[in-house]
Amino acid sequence: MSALRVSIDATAIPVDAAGAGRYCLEIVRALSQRDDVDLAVLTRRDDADRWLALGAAAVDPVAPRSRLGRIVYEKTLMGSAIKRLGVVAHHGPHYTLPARCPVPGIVTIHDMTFFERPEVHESAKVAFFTRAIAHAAATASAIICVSAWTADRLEEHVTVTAPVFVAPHGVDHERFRPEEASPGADHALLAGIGLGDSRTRIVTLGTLEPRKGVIDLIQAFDALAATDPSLELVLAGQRGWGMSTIDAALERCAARDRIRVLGYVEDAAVPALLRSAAVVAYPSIDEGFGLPALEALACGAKLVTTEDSVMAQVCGSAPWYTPSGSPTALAAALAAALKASPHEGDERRCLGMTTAARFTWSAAAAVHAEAYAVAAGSSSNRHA
Amino acid sequence: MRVGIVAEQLRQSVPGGIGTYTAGLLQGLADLSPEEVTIEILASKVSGLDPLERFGFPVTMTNLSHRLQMLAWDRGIGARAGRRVDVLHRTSLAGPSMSDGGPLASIMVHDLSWRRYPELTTPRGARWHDAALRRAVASSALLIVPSAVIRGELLDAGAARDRVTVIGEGADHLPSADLAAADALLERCGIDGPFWLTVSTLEPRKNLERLVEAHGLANARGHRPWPLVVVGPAGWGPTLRPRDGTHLVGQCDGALLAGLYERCGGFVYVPVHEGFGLPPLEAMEHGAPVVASLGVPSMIGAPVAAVCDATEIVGISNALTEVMSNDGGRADTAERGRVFAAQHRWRNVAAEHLDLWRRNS
Repeated sequence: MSALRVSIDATAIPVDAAGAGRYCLEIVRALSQRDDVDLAVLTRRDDADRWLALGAAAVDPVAPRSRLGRIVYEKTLMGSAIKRLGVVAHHGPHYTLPARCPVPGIVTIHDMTFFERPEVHESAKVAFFTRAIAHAAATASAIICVSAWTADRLEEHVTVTAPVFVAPHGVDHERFRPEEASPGADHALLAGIGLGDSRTRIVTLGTLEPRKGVIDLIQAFDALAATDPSLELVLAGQRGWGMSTIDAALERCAARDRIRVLGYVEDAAVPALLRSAAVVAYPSIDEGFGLPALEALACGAKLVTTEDSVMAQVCGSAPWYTPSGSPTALAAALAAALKASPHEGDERRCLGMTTAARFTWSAAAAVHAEAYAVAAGSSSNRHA
Repeated sequence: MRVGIVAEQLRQSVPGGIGTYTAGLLQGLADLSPEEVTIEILASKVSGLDPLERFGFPVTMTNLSHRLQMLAWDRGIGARAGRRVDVLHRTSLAGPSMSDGGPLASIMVHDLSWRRYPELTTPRGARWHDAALRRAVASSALLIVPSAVIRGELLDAGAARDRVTVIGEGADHLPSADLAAADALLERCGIDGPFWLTVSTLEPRKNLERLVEAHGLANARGHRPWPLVVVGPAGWGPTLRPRDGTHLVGQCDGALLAGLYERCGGFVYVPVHEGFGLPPLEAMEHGAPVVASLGVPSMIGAPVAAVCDATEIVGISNALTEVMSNDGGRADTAERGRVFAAQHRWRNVAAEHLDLWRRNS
């Protein structure tokens, strides 16, 4: 059987990829290692190299650099670009499919918070993405959800006629493991972002925005820090939407001098940061998958996360759980994790490493290849 | 060639014989400092100064405690450990699981005594060892054993003949003797003449019950009774009941142990089964005449003062009596023992390891 030639839309992936951007990079890398799929990656004009480096079969770097330009491009010229590439299917990895897609489309739905929690997003994005998701779900020949959690919620909000595939994200096990990359590497990487060894560190990772539960975490930390002078809180992640409320919470914090706001942390330093944590906190209110939680577990870290989220489905019984939106409960969970007996701590950390080991990008790529094949096979009845 | 050495045993509070091997191998590699070979050590986290740095090799740490590291390995976690290196050497059956596509793997298998004498091991220990051995045999790792005896047992356990290599151990790892500390200890025990020394963990396999019995018998018959000093950490199994003239002095540091080897009238070592038998070789290195049971691999071809059957109390007793009554013979065997021990250098052991890795990578 010859390889399926499929295009994938990477025009919106920023240079400092996080979240869905990271997913797109990893899935292109993993799909490029399969011989049943040939990927053609649509990128911005200045962004061809990293996709070729991942092993993509072809790159089409024609999309405009600006956000507005890209949106217009997707609605107008992308269809002809796809046609020119001679692919049998097109994959939109971030909710959207082009307005006139000349081949069967596959779309990835990450989470349904644009429908369920519009208050945690910019209103312009809510309007754009709710429409885009409804359009994609209605026109796609196959839908990929990153979790069963998201798949369940998708069908509550939009009409779905295409088959839905659940492709959980993978963990990059080469990077996220309990062992540092080379002798003394972690110490040097942490020193490079201004962190020493002395304090008991609570780490959180992810774009700083209200839905990540950052304000709850700042308040919970303040309560714990009042009685434990050795604690520090490290916030790693670029500044996102709604920073004014986060900045205000930081200002109100009595232990502000023991909170480090690092901004975007380079890839190499992220596993080192997770390994250095006494506890990793991931109190996100809602996620489609919650990969950072799994990456923390893969590093052998203790994890505190929310019980009413997809993390509870994905992480099993390794984390200490807290209900979302309660700084008091979060403080109690952090304290429980910090003060756990060595036996309990070791059991949970071991369980976490075992759980994380099950998630690989090659498994995710296998589901994608299947979805591509199903979509391509549907062309006779949908796109005849 | 980049070589990673899994040195987790040296994170144990009581590193024991495996720890001696691990430290000896690292010291031997450091002494050789072979060209075009870089060595790194893999181990769990310690806070503060890392004692593993004494070998001069960089240490790659996990963020796990020793206990959690062992637990994680037992559950098959860590298959990607040491991916950067060309050779990953495990100094015992404990270690990261070996995965295909990873570095060339080698494993030191010290002994299989839990298979031969299941009654002399805790059930939990036997289960752990069995599972770890099955994984090692099923993997594609090179297997290193300290003696031909263990090689035979490993082949019986299903290992392919061409994967098993015998490399003995070294005798030159103890620090200089602390004779003052040895004399102080002997004085506390009320010992001011020749004495028997034995070194072992207090566990059934080491056969201390029979030794104590035989020692009592020899003293009862002897013209000039020697006390027996037992060095070693408490292990498990029935508590050893010391008799008159037996002194359980617990664990000793290397310098004190070397002092006791130099001060003792004779060293006795009669385990029922042994993978190698480092203590009698250490004793020879330090000039002590040695009484050993048959089948201690390190003593094959060695100039022992007397041999005996480990299961025969009277035989052990006779051997002790014979050595106690032969002053001239003792001095002679001690001298020949030094020469024999001098052939066992850790740098040679390290060179044999390097040779094996080079031939296979």
